[in-house]
Amino acid sequence: MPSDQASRRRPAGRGILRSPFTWFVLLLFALEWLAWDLVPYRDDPTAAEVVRLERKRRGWPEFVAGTTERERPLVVIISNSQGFGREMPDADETWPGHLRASLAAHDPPIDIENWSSAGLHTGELELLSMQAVERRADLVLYMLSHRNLDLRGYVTLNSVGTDITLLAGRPSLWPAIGDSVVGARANWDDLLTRAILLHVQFARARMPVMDWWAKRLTRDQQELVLGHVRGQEREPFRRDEIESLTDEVLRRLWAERGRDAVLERVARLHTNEFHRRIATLEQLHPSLQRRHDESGVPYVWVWVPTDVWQLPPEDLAAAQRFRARGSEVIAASGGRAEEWSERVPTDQFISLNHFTRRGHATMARLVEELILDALP
Amino acid sequence: MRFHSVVFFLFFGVVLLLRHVLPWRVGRLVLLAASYTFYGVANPWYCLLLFSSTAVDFVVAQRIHASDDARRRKRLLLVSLVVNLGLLGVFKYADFGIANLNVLFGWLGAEPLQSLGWLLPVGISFYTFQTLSYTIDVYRRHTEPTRDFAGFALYVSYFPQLVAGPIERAHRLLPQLLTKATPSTADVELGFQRVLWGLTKKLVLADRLGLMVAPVYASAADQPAPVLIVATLCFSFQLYLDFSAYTDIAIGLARMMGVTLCENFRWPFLARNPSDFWNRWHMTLTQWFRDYVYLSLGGTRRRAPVLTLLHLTLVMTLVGLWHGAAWNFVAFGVLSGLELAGYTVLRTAPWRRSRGPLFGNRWWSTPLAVLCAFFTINMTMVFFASDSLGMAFDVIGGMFTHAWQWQSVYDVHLKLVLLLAAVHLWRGVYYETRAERPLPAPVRGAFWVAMIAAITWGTPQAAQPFIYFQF
Repeated sequence: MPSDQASRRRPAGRGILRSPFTWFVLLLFALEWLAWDLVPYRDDPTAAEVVRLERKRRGWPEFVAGTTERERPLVVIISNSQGFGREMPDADETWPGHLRASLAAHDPPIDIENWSSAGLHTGELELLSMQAVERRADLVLYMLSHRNLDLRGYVTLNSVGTDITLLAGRPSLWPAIGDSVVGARANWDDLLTRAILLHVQFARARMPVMDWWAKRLTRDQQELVLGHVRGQEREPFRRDEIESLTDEVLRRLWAERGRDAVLERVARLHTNEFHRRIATLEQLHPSLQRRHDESGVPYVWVWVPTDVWQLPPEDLAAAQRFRARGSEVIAASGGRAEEWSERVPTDQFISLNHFTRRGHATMARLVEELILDALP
Repeated sequence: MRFHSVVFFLFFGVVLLLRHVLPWRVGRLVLLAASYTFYGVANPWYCLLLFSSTAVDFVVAQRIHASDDARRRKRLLLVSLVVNLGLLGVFKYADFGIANLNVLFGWLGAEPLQSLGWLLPVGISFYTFQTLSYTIDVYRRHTEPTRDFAGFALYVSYFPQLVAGPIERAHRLLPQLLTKATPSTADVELGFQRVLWGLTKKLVLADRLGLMVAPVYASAADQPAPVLIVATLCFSFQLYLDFSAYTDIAIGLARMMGVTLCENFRWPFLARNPSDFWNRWHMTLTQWFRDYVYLSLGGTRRRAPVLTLLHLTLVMTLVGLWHGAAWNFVAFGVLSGLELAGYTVLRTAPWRRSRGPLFGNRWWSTPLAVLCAFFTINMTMVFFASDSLGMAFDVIGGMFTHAWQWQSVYDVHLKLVLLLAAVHLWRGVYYETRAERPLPAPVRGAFWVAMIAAITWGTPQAAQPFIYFQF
């Protein structure tokens, strides 16, 4: 081709400058450099990296300011859908939301970060626990149920990417994690995409760009334009919509045979999995305890309150047996677990494990007392 | 393996490097292995289908070429047709046939048949047509069969175009794969640019339009008329951007390896009539059906115009059925055929003085023709976009009977579709009226960076697979 012949005659330096690839690479580096400014708190020496919640799944990693040298005590809450407030229209109405408001007015003010996620599984719990310790929280509150203890990670409500995000981004965590945290559907593409999103600044700047877009759109438009809504869902769950929290089988059961059949099925599932969940706790807790002991970061472990009156007798017995044995396991490695099921009135539950607004308010009061008591 | 994945680009980088470094006799085997790996990632068993189609057509073509006995040649051609269309029939159409037979059996009170429930192997519609074209061309003595099995296997399985075309003819692609092509710097640059452009079209535009189309169509009975119209326009652009993006990526990847693939689109929404549209949309498929089905049926017969119209309708029905085993695709094909037939009748009507353009040669003739064609095409696209005939009728009925009321939630999509139409018009007119001039290197570099930024920042939350992968 004539253009090739011409390029062969040209001096090499001019040829390089005339190649769009040269400009592409240079401009790409320039964009990468500029994008550092787009990532909020990226250069703040006191900032730390956390994974914020987005709807029912964990979102992209972001930075939050003021973490390494804090003037105010920080409490990190690691819980499941209760702490996340799946049934609440707004994050401020969940018990961590109430708690944040009341402890901000406390003297001295106390910061609350809610790292809870609906369907939290053991792998995520382990990783969040490591993050909380690395973040030098003043207190970590674990509010969990037996459902969150399963090394198979059977709860699939969370994005597979959650594990990948943390795996790819934090090499220091890799040896400690083991097989349990690799999502069942994880693939190389997820891993590589997440690695790029973590380490390439202009890819990271996607978050602020999305926020910029989101501010210009209504919430309904966000779903149709961005493919998701930034922030938590606003539609409240009504009592008659509880079935939407269960899986397809349970929903069908509900439609065909009513609520009792659903409870019975749930109870059977949980009863059958008792041994595996205890085994998971036996494996998990000693390392969690050691982590907190070595770092000096205190923690409190509370069994998620359950509406005992909604449980069939055999499931209630199984749940109580689990909690008693679970508390023994925790005590054996030097910790302590609190059991609060009797402390939240039954009419403040919207379902077996979820609260009404009043329930969230009650929980906030109970947790506030606990935190003020437990904070060093 | 998806084109829009990080793993694919690592895979492509390795293949490109090996192809460049290794001697061609090894390099082409690496390319063949890469093509089978690319195809087999989803399900390794599908490679067996690909291989059997390849092996049968390689052997059959050799024997057809070697034979002078017309009956034997015809029998051999029949073997190829039965194997390839049989594979397609079993994997793509068997369950559709069984479901329809079961409806019939239900009326007759007979026991229903068990459906096969087999997944459709990705790209089977494309590669079976490609191998068939080779055998038919050899049968017609339009092309010589190759004796190089690896080369032929690479022609059938060449990964840039394996899954969704363009459907390449052997006389065009095979020679390019039998010897080592050396891409020029311009090839690499333009190929890379084409890939980036394809990714931008797919990830930033097509997937975004799709976010609006699916929920609107799913609730068509409750949507006001303007929303249904905009959703249909969005789908037309989504389909075009999605499929042409795949073609762009395929052409770009091949060009970076020194191979030139056919173009598949040429500004289809600037078509002046249905016939012009099919000469601009999925051109390689249209040409395939024209050369191997329409012309085999006798083509255009001036002395038997009714037969010509029947042939047109039949061929377009087959085109519809090629797209998917469902009644809405059949309806899409039949309607397209009727449009072509209707256009042919109007164009050749005895009361017309000349056989020139329908709307004459005034200044407004072309815009009016383009608008009419665009309207017709979009009405047909409703059947493509719908999951069922019922949904398609709901949408079309809704466009004419529902309230004329706009919903501000779709403002962004209305603006986007207007912008796309304007860009399509401008680029189409630009390309048709003047030659492309390369932009200065810094501008092209900046354009590439802008596309990378658009892909990174503008892709909706979850990228969707290419629409044509399902065919």
